[in-house]
Amino acid sequence: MVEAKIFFNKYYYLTIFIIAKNYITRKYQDSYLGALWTLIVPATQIAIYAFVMPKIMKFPSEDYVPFLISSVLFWTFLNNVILGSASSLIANATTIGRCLVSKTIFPLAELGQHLYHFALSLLIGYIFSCFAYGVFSIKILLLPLVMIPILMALTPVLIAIAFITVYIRDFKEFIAIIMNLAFWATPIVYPITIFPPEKQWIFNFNPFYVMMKPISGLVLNGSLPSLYDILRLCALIVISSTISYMIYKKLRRNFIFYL
Amino acid sequence: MTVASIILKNVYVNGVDTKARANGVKKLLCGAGKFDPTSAEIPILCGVDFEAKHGDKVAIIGRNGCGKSSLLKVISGIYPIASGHRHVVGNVAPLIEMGLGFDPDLSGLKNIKLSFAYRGKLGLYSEDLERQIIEFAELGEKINLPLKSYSSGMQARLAFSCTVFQNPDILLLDEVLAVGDQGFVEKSRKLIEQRFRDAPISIIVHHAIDQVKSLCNRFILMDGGRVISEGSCKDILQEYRTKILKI
Repeated sequence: MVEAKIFFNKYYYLTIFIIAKNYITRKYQDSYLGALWTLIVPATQIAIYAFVMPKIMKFPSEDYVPFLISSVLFWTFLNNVILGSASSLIANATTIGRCLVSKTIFPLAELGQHLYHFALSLLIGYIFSCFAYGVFSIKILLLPLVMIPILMALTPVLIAIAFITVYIRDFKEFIAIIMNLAFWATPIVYPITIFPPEKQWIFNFNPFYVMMKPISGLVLNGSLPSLYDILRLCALIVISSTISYMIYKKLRRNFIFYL
Repeated sequence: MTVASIILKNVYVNGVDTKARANGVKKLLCGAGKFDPTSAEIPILCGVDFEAKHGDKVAIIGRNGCGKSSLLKVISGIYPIASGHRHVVGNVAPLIEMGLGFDPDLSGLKNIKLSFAYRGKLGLYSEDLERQIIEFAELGEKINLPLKSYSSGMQARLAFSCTVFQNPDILLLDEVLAVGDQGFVEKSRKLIEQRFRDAPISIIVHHAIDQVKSLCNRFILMDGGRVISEGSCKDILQEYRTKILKI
């Protein structure tokens, strides 16, 4: 009950905001190109995939760049936030040993930081797609709303990953491998349509695809998530919250001694 | 109005030797032996009984590693207890180590706010308090420079000032008395002594009990993770010298 109370405390969110803002300020403060790196890295990735993938996979390449923008940027966000949260508690071990606030602020500050970079890169990517490929839809303004259930599914997982990594240091490497496998197992650099329709159901069990599809659809075609998409997301929220809460409840008590 | 109080009954705290644990798990995975998780446990506090009520000014004495700082961490809620009973009423300010959460890349000003955020004291934060801290730390315009450009004395002054500007019900001090150059030492000592007197319950952990005896009305001796005795300053000092230091 004490833990639940903090989610209704405005200072909890203010603390997350302050820490996330400091992460953002610090990340590029001595760099010459600064926040431009947020765009350069995924843009290079997209350019490489746009050049290589249609040749290897032999699928039609029209509208492939907007497709990549809609999927690679979200994947970059997912990958960075999951790996970032894995080390968020260990990286702040000295502070955690003395601070009095809930330690969940650290993975959530990671989320805040990467959410900012994602928003920035998606904005530029979308503007580019609009001018170069004419994909603009006014419905894109609903993107923050569509992000809410995705964040609800993602947040508990980030907290659980952060706490598991304190106990099992190898977990971060394990997660990195999982993310590598998931990258190729999710329609990020190839469209789902390269699979026959009767086999596409298998992606219902890929949580990354379940989170990515509503974003990808909105950015690429201006299509809002279907009822089916929303139900899948709700199921993901229930599963991720339940499992993550059980993990958090088990690990939160003594984790300070493992830092 | 909250009446501050602390009750610890038969409190045990166990730490973990993470290296021994990792080696044990490796052995288990390689089939080279069994691993008993309790073998990696390190006892930190072993059955501590401690109570404090409004008006108590407590000095805790003991040699390094006897559990003094851990006791403060249990009271402040940083350390979980393995068994026993812990009941703390009141707003706790543990001044255990200074410079909590300081980030060398950020300005002094941003670090003040960060320090309050990590203490869970953002509710107390205001521009007026910020001004008082900057004034007390004697940093002036330099407050906007990155912390890494400060001298160690300037960093210590800022850390001390961020730490001490709180009005808690329970003040926990871990040898934080004075920092900086001669002038600042005197100023900070006076302020911390004032805070110590003003807080409803104050507890200080110190090696040199002579320096704090005028501030305290209770004296406690700890050894081996236990409270071994309580008494007058003279008796506790005598016991510390003969039983613990054996001099």
